[in-house]
Amino acid sequence: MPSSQVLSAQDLGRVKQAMLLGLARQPLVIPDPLQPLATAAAERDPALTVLALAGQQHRFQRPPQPAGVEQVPEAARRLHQDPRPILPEAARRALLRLANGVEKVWADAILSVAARRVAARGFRLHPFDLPRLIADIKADARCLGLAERAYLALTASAEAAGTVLDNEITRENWMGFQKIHRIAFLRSERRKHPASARALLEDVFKSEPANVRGDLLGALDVGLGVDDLPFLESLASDRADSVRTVAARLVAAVPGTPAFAARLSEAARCFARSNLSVGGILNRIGLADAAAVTFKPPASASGGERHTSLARLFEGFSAAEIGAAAGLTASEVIAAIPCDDDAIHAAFSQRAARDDDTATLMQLAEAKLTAAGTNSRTAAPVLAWLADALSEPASLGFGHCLLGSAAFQAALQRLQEAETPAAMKDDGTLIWTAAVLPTPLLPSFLAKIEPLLPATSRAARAFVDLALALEAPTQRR
Amino acid sequence: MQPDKLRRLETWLLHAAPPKDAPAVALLIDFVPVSGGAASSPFFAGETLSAEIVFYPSATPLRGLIATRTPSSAETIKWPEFSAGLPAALADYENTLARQPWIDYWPLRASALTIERQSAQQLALADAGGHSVPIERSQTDALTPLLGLGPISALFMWDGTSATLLAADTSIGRWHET
Repeated sequence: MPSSQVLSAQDLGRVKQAMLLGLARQPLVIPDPLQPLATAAAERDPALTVLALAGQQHRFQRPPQPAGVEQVPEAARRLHQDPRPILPEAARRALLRLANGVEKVWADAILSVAARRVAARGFRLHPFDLPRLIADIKADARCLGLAERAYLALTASAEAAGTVLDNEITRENWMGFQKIHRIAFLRSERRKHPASARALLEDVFKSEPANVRGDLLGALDVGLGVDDLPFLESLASDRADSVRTVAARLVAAVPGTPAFAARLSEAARCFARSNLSVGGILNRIGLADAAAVTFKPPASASGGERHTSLARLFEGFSAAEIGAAAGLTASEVIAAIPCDDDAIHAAFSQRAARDDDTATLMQLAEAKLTAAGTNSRTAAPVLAWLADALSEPASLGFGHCLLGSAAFQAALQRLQEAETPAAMKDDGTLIWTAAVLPTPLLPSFLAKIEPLLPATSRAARAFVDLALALEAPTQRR
Repeated sequence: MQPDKLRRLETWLLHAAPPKDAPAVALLIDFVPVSGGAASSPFFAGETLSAEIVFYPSATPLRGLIATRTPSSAETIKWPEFSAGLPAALADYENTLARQPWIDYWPLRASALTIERQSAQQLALADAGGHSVPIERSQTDALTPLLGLGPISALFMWDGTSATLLAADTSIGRWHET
């Protein structure tokens, strides 16, 4: 047989198919190149001749193999040099069950919370699971330690490929990290030293492309003060419109400026003690400690524009700032937010998350949970938001409040009484409850979902298993 | 999925301590109608079982059936010993092909291997002697975490052109194709 390929892959495929199916079912068509050989051996069954020759070609003809290998990439080395131990096997199995069982719509958010839980316990994901999990967690900088970043550098975008693969992000190396890490780092530095963090940004600002400049600038919303004004005002002439927009937004939010004071005053006027309410009357006759706080939107926030106007008015304010300006406590302000409001709640929530103010986050979530129960709405969105905002599980107090809430009880009852496959699906209440609850309350949560069908509670159980396995000290490698 | 609308489910079994001249690898094949919806193997990747396997008659026995199954006590058992390097494994393929020239692929076993890169999207199994075989490109993402890992012991399919990793024993645990 000549060294070049006699039978094409299609020829070989047809011969094999005929032999497998049986020549009676699919008669053999002798490939053209073998016709002379089959004719020359006329005394033999041509099928045997073809079979033998096809076998010989299959055996001896191989495509040339590419030779040589590249050096092991630095990122591959770094992937295995992450000093954190790999998560325990039981936790790994639970995490994979969670990844396979969670509803697609929640997958990114839930797996990010799960990965953060793993990281918070000092572990890293198993490298072999990164191909399965990385797409779900890569947008959350809090999930990405050295190993995860190294895997992204090996497989993902050009930006990831060029990143610095140091274990820790510092003031010296931060510019070598991807944008999401730089933004998170700047925010964290702003919480500690607002002025030096701003100086850090100023040093590199001009060398960055417009989209990166705008996003990095946005991180100055943490710890914003009058000291930031010169830098922010200098950006009014920046060449990029997006940067000018962010700078203008930040200038308007700087505390201490006349514009800020006027907006704060208008927002604070929405909250006032009412002596006409039942609480107020009881207070006046000495039967209550304080008059109730009521909310009254400004005249400009009415009709269809209400949400937009309130969002604009309260943007960047914390409940404590509004309370201080109105002579109230933050708790009173939060309690006075109307049940059907989203704008003020969102503004306070964003500010609390930005300030890493866990106590206020819990108060806001509790208020929303109560509102969900009152309005017969699912608690899933507020729990999802809380889980994303928190860097650790919720407090025990909030956990008890959640498990006893009308919204949670209603979800349990609905799932227990469900009769159709669609109704039996967790609307997110179970999985997000598992994601926010502190570990000591997880056994009690498991007991509550025990009567539900396994398919209904599979993902929530997997999350609980993960959280409990991460807490088991003897399994730590 | 096959042209005849059947889904072909393959389960590879690796003998933990194969007797001499007995097959070390068995392939269980199940066919289920595609119209029946999603189907998966009754086993999970990495599962250990104790069973008697019978093989279909062949010059190169591979496809088998579970004849009897007994409870397995050990959850994780020791990975079997394989010859070091690729030449012995590739010689096994040549021997098999000499007996059965029409086989599409054959399972090979080798230790002291590493996963290396031949190009950005092409990985290879390599040994310390400088031998290497390319790995099926569809496995590039899944096997990237094995880059830079120390020597591994692997079970892989070889079709004369490219390797498809089925399982590997590594310093950070077992890897399985799922």
